[in-house]
Amino acid sequence: MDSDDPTQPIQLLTPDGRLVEHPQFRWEGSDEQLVTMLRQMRRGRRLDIEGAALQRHGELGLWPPMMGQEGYQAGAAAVLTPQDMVFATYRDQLLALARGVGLPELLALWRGSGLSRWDSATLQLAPYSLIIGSHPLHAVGYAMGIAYDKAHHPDDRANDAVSFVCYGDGASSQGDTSEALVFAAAYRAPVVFCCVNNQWAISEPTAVQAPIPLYQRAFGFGIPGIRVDGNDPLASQAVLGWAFEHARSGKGPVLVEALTYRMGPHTTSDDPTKYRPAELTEQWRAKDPIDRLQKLLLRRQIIDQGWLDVMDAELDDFGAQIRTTCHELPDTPVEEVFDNVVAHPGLDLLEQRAETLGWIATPPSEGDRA
Amino acid sequence: MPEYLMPDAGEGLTEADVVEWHVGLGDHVKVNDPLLDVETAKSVVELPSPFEGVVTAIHVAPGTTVQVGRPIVFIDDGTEAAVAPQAAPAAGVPDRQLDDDAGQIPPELAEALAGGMVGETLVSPELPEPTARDDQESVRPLLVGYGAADEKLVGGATPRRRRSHDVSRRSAPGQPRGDEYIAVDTVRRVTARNVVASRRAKVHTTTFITCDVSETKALVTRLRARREFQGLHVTPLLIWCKAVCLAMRHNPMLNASWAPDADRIVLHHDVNIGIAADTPRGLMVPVLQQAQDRDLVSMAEELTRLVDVAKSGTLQPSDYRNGTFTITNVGGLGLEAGTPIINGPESAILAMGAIARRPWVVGSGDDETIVPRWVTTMSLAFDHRLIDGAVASRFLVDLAALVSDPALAMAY
Repeated sequence: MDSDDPTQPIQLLTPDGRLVEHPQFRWEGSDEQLVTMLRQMRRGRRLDIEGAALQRHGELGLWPPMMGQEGYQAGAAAVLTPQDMVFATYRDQLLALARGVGLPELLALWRGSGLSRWDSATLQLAPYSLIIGSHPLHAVGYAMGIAYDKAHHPDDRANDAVSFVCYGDGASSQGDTSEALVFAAAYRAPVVFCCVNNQWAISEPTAVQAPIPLYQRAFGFGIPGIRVDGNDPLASQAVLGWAFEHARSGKGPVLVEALTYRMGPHTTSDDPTKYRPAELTEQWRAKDPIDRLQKLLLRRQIIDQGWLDVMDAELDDFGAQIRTTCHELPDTPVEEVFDNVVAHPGLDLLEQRAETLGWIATPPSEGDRA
Repeated sequence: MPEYLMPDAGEGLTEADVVEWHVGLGDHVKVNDPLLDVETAKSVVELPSPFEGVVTAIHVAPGTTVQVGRPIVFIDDGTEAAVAPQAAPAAGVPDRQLDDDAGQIPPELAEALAGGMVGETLVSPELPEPTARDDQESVRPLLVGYGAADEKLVGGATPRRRRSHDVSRRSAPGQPRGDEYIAVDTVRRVTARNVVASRRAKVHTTTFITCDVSETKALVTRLRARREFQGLHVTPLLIWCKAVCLAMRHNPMLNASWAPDADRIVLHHDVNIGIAADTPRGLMVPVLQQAQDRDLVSMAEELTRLVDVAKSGTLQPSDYRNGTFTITNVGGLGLEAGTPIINGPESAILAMGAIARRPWVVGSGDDETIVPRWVTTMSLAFDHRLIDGAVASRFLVDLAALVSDPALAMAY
């Protein structure tokens, strides 16, 4: 790999599990951290497999599979500090687990039996935004708030925070995303943009959306842009660590393009065989983020077959726990639809709430058309 | 728990077609082992097993369309009484027939089972292949203009679904599709006989009126809030039934029949209002008997009963006899108006159009404005042999006045 070519994604761990040098970035950490990373990715993948299966079982309404995209998420999870705020995509379930979202809250969202129930203010993970490309604006607004707080309370460590947003290659084509980049740059907001380029905006390949690599868009907005191998958790951690440090120290936003590949369908309602060749997916299977880290750890004898067997058993328990949690989820109380819209509901919303609850309490009768 | 119901494998899908089973009777499966492939309107998806256990019944065969929520397979996980091993129905048997054939094993399957072909029977080449559904939705657009699929490309013994890559783009036309004969049931036969007789004997004439019925909508809302109407069928239809009774007091000829064998008109003193209903058995007209003597609660109670039995498809002959006038609510289907056919020996039928928000001119002179109101169009088809245009018009105008301003009922 030619490290002088900036369009080549930064890589520290090759698909066959070997560490490579990079002149600018290196991974620093302990063996334990590597094992934690592997466990995190494998648990994330197991959640993903169970989530997709639960949708087919008829237990979840929808599931957006993330298989193959665990690398950049594990890298980001290693970089995040508790005061950082995360605006993830709805595919970033590993990040959600890493932020401490409980299985009931996560599964209820996809079962349609609960809204985004996790406490965003405590876990520092915003509710998922299913409107593509809308949440970079939320992240920039939050970052502008951090900057404002920091200007007024420079000694409060809680203000040493970074707003971190993941958005897809498809979202990069939305006007909102460009607007977010404009404001982030203009305000030097402490925000790290992570453009998760998984190559497919549902059925649209990135190539038809952008004639240049997506990280190069950063330059037009006047901020640094860099491309990392999103299937390499070590490079992702190193590059995101640099980007977070840049933003945290007041130097302004950074755009990191994490090059990865969505191995599965866009959601459980999608059929990728209709728009992309199976060979392409197979090529990317060889670049799997979990396989490469597992190979490294096995070769270095940090883990062994015994560890893998224990891990498998742990994951089977985790899978059973996911299914049981899903089966036992209670239905949504209808009040919840109203209660979590705004902090201080106005009169009209309270009226709607009372009217709806009254209507539900009224015995059913035929609609007006009968 | 061990009964696996057809899930909605997409978003808001209502049915899916079984493509292929990956398990057979007696197979032991673990959670998330692939059970079968189904094809939805969107894609072919693999359904993983929700349970660990032994497959003891397969309810649907390849080629079958299954409604979401119907059982497709029983996996005995030891938590519930196991069902006796039950063979799959032959390929292509419609889902609906399964109820009738429950538990019965077709002879050819029984033979196969005896020969130890358990599981394999699902794809046995001796079984009839799906016929009616060969050209599936997802492929059909490709077939248009390209002739039928190339049979050689469509899998061997397994009655697999045709996929788009199986379709050969030949320009020659394929085999003619032929016609299909559908047996006529009683309701269809009676409907056909009645509409022909009505058309032939009567002079159908239709007239229309459009009016603002916001007051009726408001009245319905107020009535629903009242204790005595709780749980009852309180809709604009109820108000219309009442208004028809009132309007007939001044226009009794609307509630009459032409006596076929004598030079006479039969004037009915009972107003028995038929309500055209789309029921599981087909078009039925349950009758609100002696509506003229009923107060609104009694009317609502009887309408509620009729709606319930009509929906469940269990109307008794006594429920649809002796109608003297009919209301058909074409608005319930979203239509603005209709020119209905007079029912049975009756002489008039009212079609209620959809009640929709429309611009409406109110006020006069300088105060004239256009405001959004609940507006509907009614049409009245009447037999001109005994009802003159003026009579029909007076009735329809009276009726429109009542539903526009239900307080006018005070004047009756």
